[in-house]
Amino acid sequence: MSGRTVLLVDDEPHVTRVLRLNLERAGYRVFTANNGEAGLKQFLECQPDALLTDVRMPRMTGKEMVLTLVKQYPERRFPVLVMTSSVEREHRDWVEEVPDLTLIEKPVSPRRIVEFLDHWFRDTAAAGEVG
Amino acid sequence: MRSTSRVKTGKLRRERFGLSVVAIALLVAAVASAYLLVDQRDQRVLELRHQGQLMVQMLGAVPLERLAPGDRRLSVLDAVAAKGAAAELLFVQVSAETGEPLGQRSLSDRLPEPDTVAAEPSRWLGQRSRHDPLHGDVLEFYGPVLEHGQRVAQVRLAYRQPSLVSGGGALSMIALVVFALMALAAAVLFLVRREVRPIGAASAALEAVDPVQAERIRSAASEGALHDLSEGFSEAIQATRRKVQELETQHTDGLMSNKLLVYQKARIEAALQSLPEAVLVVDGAGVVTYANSRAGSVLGTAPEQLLGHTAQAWCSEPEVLALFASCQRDMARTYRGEAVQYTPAHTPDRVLAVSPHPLFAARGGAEQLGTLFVFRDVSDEVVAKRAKGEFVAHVAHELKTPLNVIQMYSETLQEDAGRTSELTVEATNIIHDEVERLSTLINNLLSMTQIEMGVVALDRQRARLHDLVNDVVENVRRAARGKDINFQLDVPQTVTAIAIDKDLLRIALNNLLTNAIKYNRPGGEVVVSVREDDQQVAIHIRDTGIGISPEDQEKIFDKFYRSDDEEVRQRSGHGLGLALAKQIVTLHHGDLSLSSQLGEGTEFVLAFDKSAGMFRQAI
Repeated sequence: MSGRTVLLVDDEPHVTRVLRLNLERAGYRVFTANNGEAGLKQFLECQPDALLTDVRMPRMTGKEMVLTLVKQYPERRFPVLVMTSSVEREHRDWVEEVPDLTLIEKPVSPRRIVEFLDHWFRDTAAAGEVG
Repeated sequence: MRSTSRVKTGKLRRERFGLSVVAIALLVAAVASAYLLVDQRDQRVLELRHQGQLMVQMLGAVPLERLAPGDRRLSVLDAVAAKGAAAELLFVQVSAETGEPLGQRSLSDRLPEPDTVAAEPSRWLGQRSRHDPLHGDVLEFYGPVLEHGQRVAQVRLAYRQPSLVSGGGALSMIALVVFALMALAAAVLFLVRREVRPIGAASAALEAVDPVQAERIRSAASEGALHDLSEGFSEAIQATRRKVQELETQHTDGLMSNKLLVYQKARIEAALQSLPEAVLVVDGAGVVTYANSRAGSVLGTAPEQLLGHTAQAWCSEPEVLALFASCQRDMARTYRGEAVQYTPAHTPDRVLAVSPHPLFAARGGAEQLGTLFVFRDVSDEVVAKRAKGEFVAHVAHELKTPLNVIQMYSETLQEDAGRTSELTVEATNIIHDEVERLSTLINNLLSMTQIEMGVVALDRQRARLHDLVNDVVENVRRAARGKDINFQLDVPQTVTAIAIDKDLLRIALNNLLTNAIKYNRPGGEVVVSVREDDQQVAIHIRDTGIGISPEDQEKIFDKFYRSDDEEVRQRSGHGLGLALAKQIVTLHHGDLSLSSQLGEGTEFVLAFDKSAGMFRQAI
């Protein structure tokens, strides 16, 4: 969807590059950060419509970042996509606490992400909700 | 020795026996002889009296002129004298009534003394024994010579009194008797001896309990009344001996098995005491009946507090108490005990696992005697499990990351829309790099795991470092073609060859060199040099890269460790290269050290002992 911003947080430069490529091609504006701490800062600055993040990152993990954001912006509704190497129990506990969180298992398909985001924004727009 | 003294006294006893037999025989012979002699004499006396009286009467009837003729004509007296010589006649005398001898004959050379004649007719005839001064003891017979009823003379006969020793015939008879008796005695002695000998021998054999002797006894006493006795006796000895041997063997066996049991018990006890785990035996009532020596320290209780007490006395952890309680309840049924893990209050940094095992009576009894509890310190296992879990998570992540990139780029390539040649080139390059990265990662992981599992054995060969280092540098230089890095090599040809595993060292050097390039600055430098002293050969790899902070230096050899530094994170890596290099160098008993200045550069030094591996080479 045009105009929508996505914050992309991942410590792997290749990942951010290819995802940015795909997202921008789909019409999204992309901001990146390569760790949780930078991600928080970036979120504050750009107030994105969606968050796409890795879990294992230096300085602050994706989990910590997301939980902090939820605490900081309890009223905001935005989709959180968490890319994970494992669908383990270790994620089950905290993902419940976060609204609109979706776990995506690596290897990730950029096309699917784009599709997901498109759907999401279409649905929320249709429902009259604006983030 | 007792037996020989017994034998000696036995011999003595036999001698005394023989002697006593002889003595008795002699005594009997003496008595018999004495009796015989006395009897003989009495017989003689009787005979004499008889004869004497007869003679006197006979002579009394002979006319006087025939008895005592005046002139020296032969008279009856001569005949009497002649005849009487054999009968020990001493003299015969005829005297007148006045006592005047009318005629006499003497068989000795002494004439008899005249004798008074008794006047009384009642005393005309008689006999008397008297002691004659000339002839000794005599026995006299006297009687009247009668003519026409009138005494005209007196006749007197005197015989020697028979004594014990008189009578030669008696002496030979006595000698015969004595001899017979002695012979009898000797024979008896001999026979008795012969019969008795087996007893003595049996007695000796009893002392020796010697089967050979027993056999000899049997053969010696081949006949006789004592045969059965000695046979039975030696059989009894044999049986007793066998029984004694049996009992001795049983006793020895008993002692041996007792010793064996004691030894086995001691061994089992020792085994139980040497276990690193605490072992408790609890009976049906929950009372501790056995605690090995480790129990006290593992459970944090004094041993006295364990024995004889129930779990409540020394245990405060609820999980353990619950386990004990459930085991006590379930005593009647067999159960598979699950181990319960808990953190003991007295050592909170450790984790113990207690597992229950039912104890049954020996010999497959169905009755449960109690429960055996084994307390194991599983702290290390817990830590290892956690580490393993972390390792697996790490590996999964590290593998999935390049896969992720490959997936995304290849998917991007698949879409027709928006595909540009630049994108294609970029994607292809990146995919290629990621594949390499993945491959390196997998190889590193494999090598590390193998080394850790101990599967890898060093294949030490004498290697000329010059060639090896050159080779690796060349490979790395080729791979780093695009990058603006300057390589310098300072490896003398004459470096002592050291015994190293070429393949592994190649990996280590490669990892270090890759890092030196990766974390370098554009236009930077990588210098590889080899230095040698008396004991060591050292490979130096120096770069002008971003350097390593002191905090990072401490952890940099840890698996998967990557610095949080921005400069590091923007370069891809998975944190295994240095860990593997360190492992390889350690395997060689060498040393991998580093010195670094943040922002300036880093130098790694691989140092190897020159003597390492020499023994193997020498063999």
